[in-house]
Parts: sequence; C-alpha cells; structure tokens
Amino acid sequence: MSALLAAAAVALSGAAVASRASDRGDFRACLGILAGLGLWSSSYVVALFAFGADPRIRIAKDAALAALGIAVLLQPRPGWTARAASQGPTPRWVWPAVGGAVLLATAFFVEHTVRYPDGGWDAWGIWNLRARFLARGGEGFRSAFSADLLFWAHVDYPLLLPGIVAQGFVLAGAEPTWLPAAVAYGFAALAAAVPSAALRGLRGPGWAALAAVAVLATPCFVGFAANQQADVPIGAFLAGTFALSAFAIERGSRRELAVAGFCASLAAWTKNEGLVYLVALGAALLAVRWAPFAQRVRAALRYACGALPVLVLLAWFKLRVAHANDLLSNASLDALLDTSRWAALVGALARRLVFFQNWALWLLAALLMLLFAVVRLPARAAPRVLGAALALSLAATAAVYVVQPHELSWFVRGSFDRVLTQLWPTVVLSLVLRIAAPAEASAAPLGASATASASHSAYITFVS
Amino acid sequence: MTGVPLRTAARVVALLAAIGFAREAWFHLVSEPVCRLGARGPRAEERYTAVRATLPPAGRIGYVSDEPISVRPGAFHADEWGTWLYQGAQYALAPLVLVVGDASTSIVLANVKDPARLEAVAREHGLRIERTFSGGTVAVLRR
Repeated sequence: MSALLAAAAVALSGAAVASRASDRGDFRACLGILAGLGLWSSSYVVALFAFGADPRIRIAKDAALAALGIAVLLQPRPGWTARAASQGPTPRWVWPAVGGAVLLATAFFVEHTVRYPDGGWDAWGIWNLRARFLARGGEGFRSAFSADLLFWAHVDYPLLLPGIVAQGFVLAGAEPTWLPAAVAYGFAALAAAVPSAALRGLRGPGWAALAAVAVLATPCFVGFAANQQADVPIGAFLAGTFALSAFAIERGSRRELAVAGFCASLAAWTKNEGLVYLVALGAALLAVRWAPFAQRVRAALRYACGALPVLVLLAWFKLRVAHANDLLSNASLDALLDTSRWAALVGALARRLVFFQNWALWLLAALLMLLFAVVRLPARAAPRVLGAALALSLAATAAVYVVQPHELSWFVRGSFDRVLTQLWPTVVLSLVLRIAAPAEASAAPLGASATASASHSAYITFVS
Repeated sequence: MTGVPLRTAARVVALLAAIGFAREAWFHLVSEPVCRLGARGPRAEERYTAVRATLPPAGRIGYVSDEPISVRPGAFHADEWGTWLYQGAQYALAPLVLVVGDASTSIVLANVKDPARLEAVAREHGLRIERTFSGGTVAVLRR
C-alpha cells in the first residue's frame, strides 16, 4: 500500500511539474518521471530531518506530495501550443537502430550488474552506503554524516540518489541488490530519453533517434550507469534543464525557465557539480544576447526562482549537516597561477578526448562537428546559450581540478570521464540543436502532439 | 547551408555507434569474459555477515588493521588495500560507524589482510582478541 502511495506521489508530483513544460509529447512524460523522482527524494530528506524516521511521517509525506500534485494538475495550465516538428523523411533504418541500441545497452548493463552487483567503488563507498545509513539508521540516521567517517564517504555529497534508494529499501523491507541497479537503469534510460524526446519536439523525430543512439552507444555511458554512481542521474537532470531552456528560447515560452531552474536545482541536489552547472546556465541566460536585456533579466530571475526551493534545502544541508568538502577545504588558490599545473591539466584532458576505451570516437567527432558548425552554419540562439553554459561549466570544472589537493593526473584519470558523462547527454542535445536546422514547426491545437512513429513510441514507452 | 542534412548525420552516427558498441562488446564480453559471469566470488560484504551479529547495530566502535588506510585527501598510500578493506567493512556494517585507529572504545573491530598479523595488531593497541571470523581476518577485540 505504501509502495503504491509512493508511486502515486512520484507520478502526480512529477506530472504537476511537467505540466508547466510547453512540449506535450514524450518530453513531458520523461520530465514528469525525472521531476517526480527528484521531488520524492528531496521531500523525504526534508521530512526525515524535520520530523524523524517514523514510517507514518514518510507515508504522510507521500500523501501530501500526491495531493499537491493533484491540486496543481487541477489548476488551469499555460496555454501552450503543441507543435509537430518535422524535418523531412527519416531514413527507414533509424528507428530499428534505436531499438537495437536499447537492447545492446540493456544487455551490457545487465552483464555488468551481474558481475558487480554492488556497483562501482563509489556506489558502495558513497551512494549506497549513505542509502544504507538512512534506511537502517532509524532515528539515528544522522550517523550517516558522522565526522568519524573517512573523507572517502564524502558526507557532504547531496542526497537525491541515496534518498531514492533508501526509500526503496524501506518500502521493500529489505536491501535487494536489484533495487539500486533498477534505479540506475531508470536514470540511464532517462538520460538517453530526455535529450531525444526534447529534440523530437525541437528538430523532429529523425534527430531524436540519432541523439538516443549517440548517448547509448558511448562506451562509458552504460558502464557508469551500471556502476550505480550519481553521474548518469545528474546527466539526466542536466539534460532536462538544458532542454527546457531550449524550449523556452526557441518557442518563447519563458515561464518554462522556472521549471528549468527547478530541474537544475535537482541536479545540484544530486551531486556537487550540479551547482556549477546551475550557475553556469544562469550566467549564460543572462550574458548571451538571445533576447533584449530586460527579457534576459526576467528569464534569469524565473530560472532562479524555480531553483530556489531546492537550493534552500541544499544550503541548509551544506551549512548544518555536511562537513567540509575534501576538494575545496584543502584547496590552494596559489595553484590557479601555476602555469605548469594548467599545462598538465590540458595534457591530461587532451588524452581523454582520444581515450578510445571510454569514448570510442564520439568526443573527437563532437569536437569536429562543433568546429564545422561554428565555421559553416548560422548561429542559433538556443545552442548559443547552451554552448556558453557548457563552456562555463567546463571552465569552472577546470579551475576546481587545478586547485584541488590530489595529485592532478591521478585525479583527472579517475574523475574527468565521469564529469564528461554527466555533460554528455546535454552536449549531444546542444550539438544537434546547433547543427540541425530548426524543424518546420506547425502550430497545432493543444492535445495534438507530434505524430510519432510506432517504433518511436515503443522506444519511449520502454525507456520510461 | 542552414544545417547538416539528416541523412548525412545519420550515416556518421551509424558509423560512430558501430565503433562504440564494438568497443562495449569487447569490454563486456571478451575483456571480462562473459563465459565466466557465473563464476564470480562472494560479495565483499559477506566477509562481515557473521561479525555483524556480534556487534552493536549502531553507534561507533574503533577500527584497526594491519594495512595502512588513507585518511587524508592528497596523502594516499601506494597500496589502497587497507582503505578498500575499511570501506567494505563500513558498507557492510552501517549504520555502525567505524572509527579508524581508535582503540579506546569498548569494542574494536580488527580487519586484517594477513590473519597471521592479527595478534600483533591487537597487541599493538593493547587489546585482546575476543572472537575471530572469516578465517581470522576479522576479529572483535576488547581491552
């Protein structure tokens, strides 16, 4: 019963958030699941710290979440006009190729999960460890943030993913290894489906299919997903954020930026890097000239307002619960002026670009495609904003790499592919928006969403 | 030119995807042979299943080992075996908090790589072995 209530809380609260998105097709469905999971997890943490671990509190929280979702869904919604994007005939083999990519990625995910049922080192050393503390600890759940735990446990990391897994454990009354694996699979599906579904609305089904294949066929994507770490979940939230921003810019649906801000705040509540990405997109919305200045200020304010509730939770967590961050508490600002450290970083990053084991030729191809687009194709507002945000994110990340206290090449080797994995669905989204001419958009009344091919619908149903 | 034709992009993506999936197939099926999938060893936390029943379910206890543990960022040991052992124990025994190097608690968990060194580890901290588990690699120590 409480599992059903939890599912209703996720579905209804997510649908309420997604109802504010302009796209009425698959993208809204994906966004609903994503936002619902985020709300379900963040409200769990709020309830846990505010009222304790009593199961009745959790049930009341889920009931309240479901009721709030219904209340919002009953409100009149913005009069968005659904648009059917079309870019001419799509090669016939594309959708079967998507189906094949889903099957292969699923097979590799299952193989890796059977081989490593507890996920990668970070999964059991950080994320699932925290979930166990929360699920097993009862009223003593605060020991999850004990100063006696070694820095390897990263007690300052936000709680979105552990919040979902811990509630799953509590609902199941056990800790089956398939549960965090299923959560990881779900987020991987969303990380591929969100940019794909957004592109279906913005550039047409053909480009949507290519984006899905690009994400799924990137060698390290499935591995990191099966490792049950937070990099793929944050990638899904980030893709949702950037997609909503693209809809807002290209369709003029500025109110959508509040949902984008909310989605970005969930990325920040997933992993510390999310805060960097949130600020980067906010700065890009303000700085890139995609609209008159006054409109850009209003857009940035809407974005910030959407982010505010979860950012308040994050700030409280960082100030009152989490201990010092191991990367920044021992950081050296002098390192920022150390040219040898920057040179070492550039060399190490260049290696990742051609690191075949993890990326095959995808990063290289993306870079070449970007260069081609910059030289040969006309500039477009949305990809300019998204591209600037990605560039700012990478620049800020590079600065963190330089000042952090670990040995640089070791740290890059161990973490930069994960940073790129976080950004990869968004990079694919932004790049397609840049290289594909805007689809012929035909205005349609509400409810008449784009006509999807049967196989595309089957794919979205599968990944959802 | 206003954009890359879909057909051209589709051909490029197909080629890149074929290379990407070939690499994945190599890693998942050949590099880590899929025929040995069923032959994996016990989960790391099974090492702590028996000792868990003898420890308090929550609170904090001391933790000692014969292997060095990296306790500060940027100051790592060449061999992270000790860190891996600690993290495995912490994962298995949560919400009990294991305090590295603290031998002042009423119960101390010893987790060693080499069972022959268990006695020396206990003696070094002025503790006695109360009970051993997992072939003498895990032990409950008391003062």
